[in-house]
Parts: sequence; structure tokens; C-alpha cells
Amino acid sequence: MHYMRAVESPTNLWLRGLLDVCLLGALEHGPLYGYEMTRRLAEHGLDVVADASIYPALARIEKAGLISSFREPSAGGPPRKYYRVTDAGATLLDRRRQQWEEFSCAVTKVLKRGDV
Amino acid sequence: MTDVVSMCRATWKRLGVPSGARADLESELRADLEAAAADGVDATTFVGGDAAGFAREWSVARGLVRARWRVVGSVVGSATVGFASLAIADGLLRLPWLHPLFDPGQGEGQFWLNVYAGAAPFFVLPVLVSVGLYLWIVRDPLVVRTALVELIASPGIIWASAVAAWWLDGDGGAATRLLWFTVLFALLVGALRAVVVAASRRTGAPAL
Repeated sequence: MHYMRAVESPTNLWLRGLLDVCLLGALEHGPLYGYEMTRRLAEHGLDVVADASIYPALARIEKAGLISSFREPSAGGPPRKYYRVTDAGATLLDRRRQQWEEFSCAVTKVLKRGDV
Repeated sequence: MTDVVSMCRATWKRLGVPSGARADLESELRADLEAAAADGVDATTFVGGDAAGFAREWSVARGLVRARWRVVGSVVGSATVGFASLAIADGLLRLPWLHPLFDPGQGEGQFWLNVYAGAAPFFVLPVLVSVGLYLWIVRDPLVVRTALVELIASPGIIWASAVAAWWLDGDGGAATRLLWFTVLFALLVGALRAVVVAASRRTGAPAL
């Protein structure tokens, strides 16, 4: 059953292992608040990322010291909580980026028709 | 939006998230829900249609729900619900023919036959159903595993509860023996729940 779900819709399965690094990537260009991050991911084609799923992920990577948070007043509403990448997060992001490039390159090669 | 925030607040409170942390989570959620609403995103959709599950997962990821208290809470909850359902079954089914089921005056073979015949439909089923419902309501990820383990182990825990009740009761009557049986059976249900949680942690299965 679990296997069939993965076959039918593998994107969620792939994202499960990549969400943390995608969030680090989204934060690389400056602080964002939670909802803004899902919008940023959606703008880049990752519209399958559910709004709700990023909050536990953010909590995990904040606990790991890869991001930090701070509050800023918002126009009219309650203050917003923004997240930014720490030095440790930036280092990890660089490493993951390189690993992903190698890995995705290898997968693309294998999946190309006639190359194997 | 208010409904979603209220549901999350109630979930955090039930999970024992400290009030300062609750306020922090709520403030972040409210601000983001407002931003989402401005884009036309509905609050229920935002939390994936399950506000309580979302609130639980978030607070656990933040480390605001202490693992020990989650386990103790679920074990005590299971035992309490088990006891309540047994007490209700005992109260409702205090039929003239039920107490003789625990009467040691009969032959041993007949006694055990009666214990199982009485316990299976009137004690085990209410406990399994009520503990299962309780765990399902609190969105416990181990609900199916707990129910299966308790179902499989039920002959053993009936036997252990009946023997211990008989021993503890001394010269008491069938009514006090039944009460002992109820308490012990509920405690064993809670203990089994603890075993399921401990085993799931060791194997890396979905934890609390």
C-alpha cells in the first residue's frame, strides 16, 4: 500500500528527505516568515509543500542550530516570527547543494533512455 | 481562523505545553494565518485540514512536549479509560449470573471457563473499544498496534488479573473480587501500552 502510494505520487516522498534543505535554500537570500517560505517554494515550482508541514520542519532545523528566529512587527497584525540561516546552516547548505548536484546528475544519467 | 487557533490552543494545553510557549506558538500561527488569509488561503486548508494534528506535530518538533510525560500521559490515559469502561461494564452488568463467574467455590475448570466466558465479551471488548477510541481521539500513532497487542495478550491478562484478584481478595466476596479484577486488568492494560510505546521507540516505529 505504502509502496503503491509512492509509485503513484513520488513527489511527497522525495520532498520528505529534501524539505529541510529546501527551507535552508529559501532562506539563503534573507529572512522569511513561515507562510512566506511556502510561497517562495511554490514560486519555484514546489507548490506541493503544504503550509502546515514546514512548521515542524522549521522547528527541527532551528533546534539543530541551522536557522535562528527573531520577531518583527507586522503592518497592522501581530508581530511576525522570521527565520534566517545561521553560519552552520549556510555551511550545511553548501555541502548538501554539492551532494544534490552529484546525486541528481547520477540519477538523470541512469534515467536517460538508452544510456544504461 | 478563530476555530483553528482555538483548536491548536486546546491541543497545546492538553499536551502540557507551558503557557509562555503556547503564547509564542499561537502568536506565530495567528500572524501567518492572517498573511495566508490575505492571499485567500483558508485557515483549515493552511493547517492541512487537521488543526489538532498540526498543533501536536509542531509542538513535539519544538521539543515542548516532554517525551516522558507523553508516555506517562498515554499510559495513565489508557489505564484510566480501561478502568472506567470496566467499571461501567461492571456497574451495568451487575447481573445475578455475573458474580458467580468469579466464585472460587466452583470446580477449578468450571471457574476458569466462567472467567473467560464472562471476561471476554463483558470486559475485554469494552476495554479494547474504549482504549482504541481514546487513542484515536488523541490521534495516537500507535493506536492499531496497541489494540492488536492488547487483543492478543487479553487471555494472559485476564488470567493474571483473575489469579491476582483471587489472591488479593482473601476471604472477600465475589463483588470485591470483581473490583480487584477490574483494577488489575486496567493496570495491565496500561502496562501493555507502556510496552508498546517502549518497543516502538526501540524499533524506530512512529513514536509519540
